[in-house]
Parts: sequence; structure tokens; C-alpha cells
Amino acid sequence: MKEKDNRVTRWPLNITVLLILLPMLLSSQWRRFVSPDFIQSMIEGGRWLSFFVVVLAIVLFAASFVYIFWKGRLLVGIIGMIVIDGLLVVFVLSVQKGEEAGERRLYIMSEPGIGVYCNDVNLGKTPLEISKEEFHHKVKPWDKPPRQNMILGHGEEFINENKIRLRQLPKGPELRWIYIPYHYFSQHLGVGQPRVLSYNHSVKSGYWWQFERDGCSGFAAINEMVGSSQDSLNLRIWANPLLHYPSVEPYVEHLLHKLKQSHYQPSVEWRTLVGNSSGLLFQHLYEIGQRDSRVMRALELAIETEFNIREGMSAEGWESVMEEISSRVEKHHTLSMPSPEFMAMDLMIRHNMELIETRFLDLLSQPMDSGSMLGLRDGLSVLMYGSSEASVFKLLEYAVLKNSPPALFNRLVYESRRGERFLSMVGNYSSKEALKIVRQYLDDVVHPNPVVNFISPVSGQMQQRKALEVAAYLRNPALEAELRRFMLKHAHDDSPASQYYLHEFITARLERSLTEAEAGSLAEWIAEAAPLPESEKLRFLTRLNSSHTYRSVRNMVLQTASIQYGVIRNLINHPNLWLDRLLIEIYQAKSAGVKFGGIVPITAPRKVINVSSDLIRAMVLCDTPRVRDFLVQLWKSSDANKIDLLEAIKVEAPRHFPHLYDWIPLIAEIEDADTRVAAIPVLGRIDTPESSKVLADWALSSDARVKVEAAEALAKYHERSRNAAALLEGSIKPDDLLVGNTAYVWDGENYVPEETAVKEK
Amino acid sequence: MSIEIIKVDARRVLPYYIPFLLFTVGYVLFRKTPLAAGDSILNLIPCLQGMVTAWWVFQDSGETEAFVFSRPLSRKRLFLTRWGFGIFLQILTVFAVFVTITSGLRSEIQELMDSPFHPIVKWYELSVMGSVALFSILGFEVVMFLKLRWRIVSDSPSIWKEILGAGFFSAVCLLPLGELIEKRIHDYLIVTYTLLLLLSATLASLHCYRHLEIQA
Repeated sequence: MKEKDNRVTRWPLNITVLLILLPMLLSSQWRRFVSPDFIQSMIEGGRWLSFFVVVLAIVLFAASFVYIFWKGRLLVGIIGMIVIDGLLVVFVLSVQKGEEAGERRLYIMSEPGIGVYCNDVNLGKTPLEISKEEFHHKVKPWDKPPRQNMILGHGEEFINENKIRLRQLPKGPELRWIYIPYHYFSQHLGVGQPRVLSYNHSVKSGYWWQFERDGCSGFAAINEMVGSSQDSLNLRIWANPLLHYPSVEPYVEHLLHKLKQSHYQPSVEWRTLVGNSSGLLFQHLYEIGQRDSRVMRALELAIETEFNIREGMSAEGWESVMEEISSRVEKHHTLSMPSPEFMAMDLMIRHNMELIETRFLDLLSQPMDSGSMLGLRDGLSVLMYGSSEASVFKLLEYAVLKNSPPALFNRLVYESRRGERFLSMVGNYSSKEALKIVRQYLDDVVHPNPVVNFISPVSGQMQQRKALEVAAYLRNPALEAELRRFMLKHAHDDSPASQYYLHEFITARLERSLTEAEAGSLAEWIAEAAPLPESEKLRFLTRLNSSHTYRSVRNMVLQTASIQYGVIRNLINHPNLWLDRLLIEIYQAKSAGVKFGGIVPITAPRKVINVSSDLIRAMVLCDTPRVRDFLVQLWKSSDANKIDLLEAIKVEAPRHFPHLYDWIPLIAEIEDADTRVAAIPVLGRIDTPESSKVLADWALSSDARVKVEAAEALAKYHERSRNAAALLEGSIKPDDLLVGNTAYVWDGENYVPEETAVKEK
Repeated sequence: MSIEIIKVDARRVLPYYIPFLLFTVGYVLFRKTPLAAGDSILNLIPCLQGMVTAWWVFQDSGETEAFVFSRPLSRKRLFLTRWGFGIFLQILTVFAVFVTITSGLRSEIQELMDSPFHPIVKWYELSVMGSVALFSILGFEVVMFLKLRWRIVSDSPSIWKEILGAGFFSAVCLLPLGELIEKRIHDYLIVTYTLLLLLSATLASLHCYRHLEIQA
């Protein structure tokens, strides 16, 4: 039978053929190239050739569909598809050609909420995306370098009144120019590291950047304006400037001053300011809050105000809190921890875990990006990028990792087939199935499939890395023995990756609240099994909060005398109440000039280090009744000891350990004028209403020096009060708290103080 | 009368259908990790099974053709009988997967194999039913439609052309769908498309079947 002999109606057939071909349009290739956003970016980027190819492909596709419908020829359909696929290849090539012609896109990621300015043009807030064309349209280059101030940090002295060549100035936070010259689009020519230019070359670029976050200017040296390029469909430049904010410290000091004045009951203005912060301010206060529970409570109050969280709130109220958290995270596409969003989530975990579970299950069915946390440390500070939905999911993932809700267990076991992301959540449960799943997973990594390993050794290595990450953060005591064995097997060498995961493994455990038995076992493992140098072992052991710590650390100190100083330094960084006895023993041995533990007296590695003062600093930070009694005795024993203690308190006061404020009554009792003079800066730094009261008393002292210095300190206290009130009102900015400086101008070769340049002329 | 047609079709189809059914059930029973929509092997086996079923149901030799078309049945009735038989077999496969999971047989075997996932994941694994049904039925529908269409528009195409054509068009249709199912996107679109194609391919095939010219 010939085709023409059977001329039945063909349209049902042709429609069906078209329907069969239709899913081709859903393929990832088409979705990517023919998306409205992509076409719009081509038009905006002026890539007319690429645009023409896409339009032609669409027209041909439509034409071949019409032809198939009209004639019903499958062959035409197939040929049409091949032609269109060919056109797409041409299109890809033309896109690449377009990139070579200068098509670039800049992403400034860094942390969220940073205001970005170039040549005084506000480009928006991070995460920021801008094409080369849009950038050049908005920002015009400056002919000559701008006149600018060198900003100095809080309390720093003026460092450079004379003409000093810039390259002689230290790099990093010390170099705090308001404007930073950098040209991303010319320095990132291709994939990989950017071209490194000297300051003088960068100055000629004509583009001067400024950054601002929570009202504080951010500064970076040129070599800190780092970025990398990625070559996909567009050439992308990922910039992540390492910013320093000199005004954030005085800003935080002033806010704490206000908090202390109000006896840790934050005003509405205080709460609003902190709750509204993009995270910079919050992070600094959070760090202090970890030492001072009253500051943490004030932060919680700020978050409750910001997210409208109230006592006995209804389910609808929590829904709106969840919406608020999600919308803030979605807006930034980024998560940073600690942040107001994370603290709000912590409050929600305490009050309404059911809602988190429901939202988590809702989002499970949505597509997710590949990035994931694979577990978290308690004290970790992280920054994550992703799509809006992915960021919200990560926030929920954090809640699930932290809380391991029983209601989600079955679902998580099912989802664990999807990889480490869910496996690390399952691994925190104590059920026998969870233990078995993790054991099986670790076993698969230990004994990889030889065929897969042969075909792709790289995938085996990647799998091992992921497994190390999972093992590092799992919080399941029942698996601890296996996890330790796994770490010993796979992170035993000196490679940076192994050392990193081993450090994370131990740190994650140190940050948890362990039982005595767990802590003892961990101390033993660190001391005897962990493949770490002695100094590292000591560093970890001095952080372990357990009765076993004293014995382990003392044994190590007795075996290797030279590490005694390391112990003291570690205890200054991380005070450990369980080592109070050891500190007293070392101090007594040193004072008596006898060998500690019958071996050797304490020595410092370098003569310039004052061992005594560091030892006293470590003791001042160790707040136990035993050390307190010892220090009070020391205080009462001589004025020299008082001076040493005052010096230690003065150095440590800015870290805001609350027990340091307990020294105020003792300080108030000082009668000797010289000691009072030494105590005045201490009272100034403690900066509480009680300390100001002592200063006020001493300002009436009969001793002239005490009177003058106390009056000055008191005046500074009142100035801080005024500035703090002005900050909350918004009448001054955090940068106004910095020490002022003369303006600098470019003399053709260097930035020099304006006055010097004028004189030379 | 229909039963005779079904008997004829069954005799040709079952030797190919049963091994595929066993493969499917065996895979469901012994797959170690939890089953999920987008499992490419689990989707592929019923899809191939549907294609083979359609091929043999509508592959009439001259002698069979004479027998089939000499029955006192309308073309429409004939088509619906054969189409119904094919669809029944594909639904039977889907049902077999359903029973294998829900009866607990898979869980029992997995527990014997020391799998940590079972029986916890038993009910979640039913999420495979949608994609198994989709691939099983669409595999059948695409090949059925192509086979009957060729008999209308072309004079006895070669067996290789038919096989390649069936494979090509099934791949064009089903691979993008598989990708979407795996990435869990456009669920409503997939369901709508499947229903549309099912309806369109069935009606178009009926249309072809009514206008077939019998060579025998």
C-alpha cells in the first residue's frame, strides 16, 4: 500500500508526533538557552549575533513543527532537530566569542548587606551582580586620584604625619584609605587568578571603591580585593573583598556602654538598631554574648523585637515569624552565622519546632542546589551562598541538624539515599538503624568498590573528603569509636586537608557539652592517639572542660617543660576553669623559683615575653572560687601585685568577661595614690556605672594626679554616654567615633598629607 | 470473540513480557538502597517492557492478520481489545511493583540482607509508582502509535527502520521527562503532558487502525 493510496485524515497523527517531540523543549539545553532572562541578558549585553541565532533556532523549531503538522513527515522533524541542535552549538560558540569580546559579569559576594560604592556611585548591596556594560554605564572613571582621609582605628595613634612611601606602610588593616583603587574588569581577563598590579598602577585604573556595612566603612588593601573568575556561559568574576571595619569596635563598645547603663535592659532603640543590623554588629555582640549571658539575653530581646516574637504566641504568629526569617534570607541569597536570622531560628527551635518540621518537609520536594552543610559545629561561623530557596532550606537544615526531631527520622532515613547531606542529619539520631546507615556508609568509603576506584580514582578521593566532613561534625556518642577510627585511618597524614578535618573533628567535640566519661575518653584519644604535634594536642586539651583535663595537661607539662608557656597562652585565648589548680601551681613554682613538678622552672620561648603578666592574665580570666581567693590574697599582699593585677584586668577588660566587673569593689578600696593612678584606666575600660561612680569619687580626691586623671576618665565616660545616645538617635555615624585625621592627596607618585603637599608647592 | 484475539496476542507477547516482569520485580526486591522516583533502571525496564508489548500486540503476520480481521468485530472493538490488553499488562507490571513493596516482601528480603533502611522506608518507596506507571504506559503508547502510523503512511517499512524509529522517538519523548522527574520539577506539567499524549496516541492509533488496509 502506497502512502498516497491511503489518504486518511492525518491531523490526529501529526498532533501526536508533535506531542512526542514536545519534551525536547523541556530538555535542560533548551531551558537554559531559551529562558527569558537569558535572552534579556543577551539584548542588554548587545550580543546581537547570539540573539539572532537563538531567534532563528526558535523560528526554525516552530517552522519544523508547523511542517510536521501540515505534512506529517517524521524525517523532516528529525532533520529539523539536528539542524536546530547544530544551531545551538553555533550559538554556544558565539556566546564564547562574545565573552572574548569583553562580555563579563561581576559578582561581589562577601557577606550580605554590604553597601558597595564605586567612584561615589551606589551600586547596591551585597550579594551584588553587575555586568560590565551596566557598570560602565553607571560609573565613569575619575581622571585623578581623589583627595581622601586615612582612617585610623579606635584608640590608635596617628601614624604618619610625614611623607612616607606607600610601599613602606604595612599592608592590611593598618592601611585604611577611604577609597580603594581596583579595576575588576581589566584585572580579571580570563579564568583563574587576577593580574596583580602595584598600587601605582591600580591608581591609574580610575575606579575607586568604598564599602559600608551597618554604618561602618569597610577597608581593604589592594591585595585583599581578592576575586576569582569562572568560565561557564558567561565569564564570571567572583569578588570577595576581605574587609576590615575599624569603626565597628568603638560602635560595639558604645552600644555595650548603653546596655550597661540600663542594667542590661535594652531600650527599644537599642533593640531596633541591633535587630536591624545586617550581621556585622550582631556578630561582634554575639561573640561577647557567648561570654556574658546578660548580653546574650539583650540580643535575644533585640531579635524578639525585630521579628515580633512574643510570649505565648499563636501558631499564626510563628508562621509570620517564619515568613519574616525566610524573606530576609531569600533577599540576601546568603546565610551568615551568627546572624539575626539564625538567632530567630534558635528561638523558634525552642518554641515551635513543629512549624520547622512542616516547612522542612514542604521544601524537601523542591529541587535543591548541590551545596550543603554536612553538619555544623556549635561555635562555627559560616557563610553560605545559594539560591533563595536553597538558603531557606539550609536554615531549616541547621534546625534539623541541631535538634534531630523524632518526627522527621523516617523521612530522613528515606532521603539519606540522596547522599551525605541527609546522611549527616540521620547520623545524629541514636536509633540502631541510623547507626547502621552511618556504619555502612563509612564502611563503603573504607572499602571502596575496586572497579569504580579503577575507573575514577578522583571520585573515590572526593567521596573520602565528604566522608571526613560528615565524620567531623556528627554528634552521636554511639558512633564515636567508629568515627575516631575512621579519622585515624583517613586523616593521619600531614596534608592540609587531613589536618583541617582532624582539627574540625576535635573542635566540634570540644564545643559540645560532654559527659565526664566522654570527655575523659576524648582527652585520652587526643593525648595518645590523635596524629597531631604536641603543641596542637596541648591546645586542644587545654580547651577540654572536664576533670580529666587537669591530669592530662599536667602530665604533658611535666613531660615537656617548654610547653608550659604554651599552656598559659592557650588559657588566655580559651580560659578553662578546670585548669585553675594548674595555674596556681605554676605561679607558685615560679614565684618560689623552684622547679615545677620537680622538673624545670617555667621559661618563656623569647625574652621579650613577660611570663608573669601572661600568667596573671590567664588567672584573672579563670573565674573559679579557688583562683579568686588566690588572686584576692595576691591583691592584698602588696601594691606591686596590685599593679600587676590591674594591668592584667586592663588588658582583658575589652573582652568583656563579666566576672572582671567584680574587681570594682576591691579597686574602690585602693588608698595609695600611685595605685589609684594605675587603676583609673582599668575603671575606664570596665566602663560600667559602678566604675564611673568610683571615678567620680576619685575625681574629688585630694591627690592632684588622681583628681586630674579620674576627671579625664570620667569625662570620657560621659562623652561615651553622649555618643552612645547620639548613635542610637542616628545623629552620628559609627565612623565618627574614629580618630580624625588630615586629608591626603596624590602627588603623582604617592598619597601624601595635604599639608605637606601644600608646603612643597 | 474478544477472548480469542487476546489469546492470540497473549501467546505472542507473554514470552517477552514475563522476563521483563521478572526483571522488574527482581530489581524491586533486591535493590539495596531505597527506591525513588527517577530511578533510571526501574523506569527503563517497564518502559522497554511497554515497547516490546506494543510491538508484539500489533505485529501481525499475514496469517494472523487474516485471522484477526476475519473475526466479527468492528475495527474499533478490535483495537480497543488489543489496546486494553496491552495497557492491562502494563498496569499489571505497575501493580506487581505495588504489591512487591506493600506486601512487605521487599522489606523482608532487605532485612534478611541486613539493610538498615527497612522497614522504615517501606511506604515512602511507593513514590516510585508514578514514574513506573508513566514510563511503562508511555513506552507502550509511543511504540503502538508509531507502529500503526507506519502502516498507514508507509509501505511495509523495514524492521530496522521501525526499531530505530521506535527507539529514537521514545528516547526523544521519555529522556527529558526522566530528567524532569529526577530533578523534581514541573510535576503538574509532566502529568498534564502524559495524559495528553495518552489520549492523543490512543485516539490517533484508533484512527489508524480503522483505516488500515489489510494485505492478507
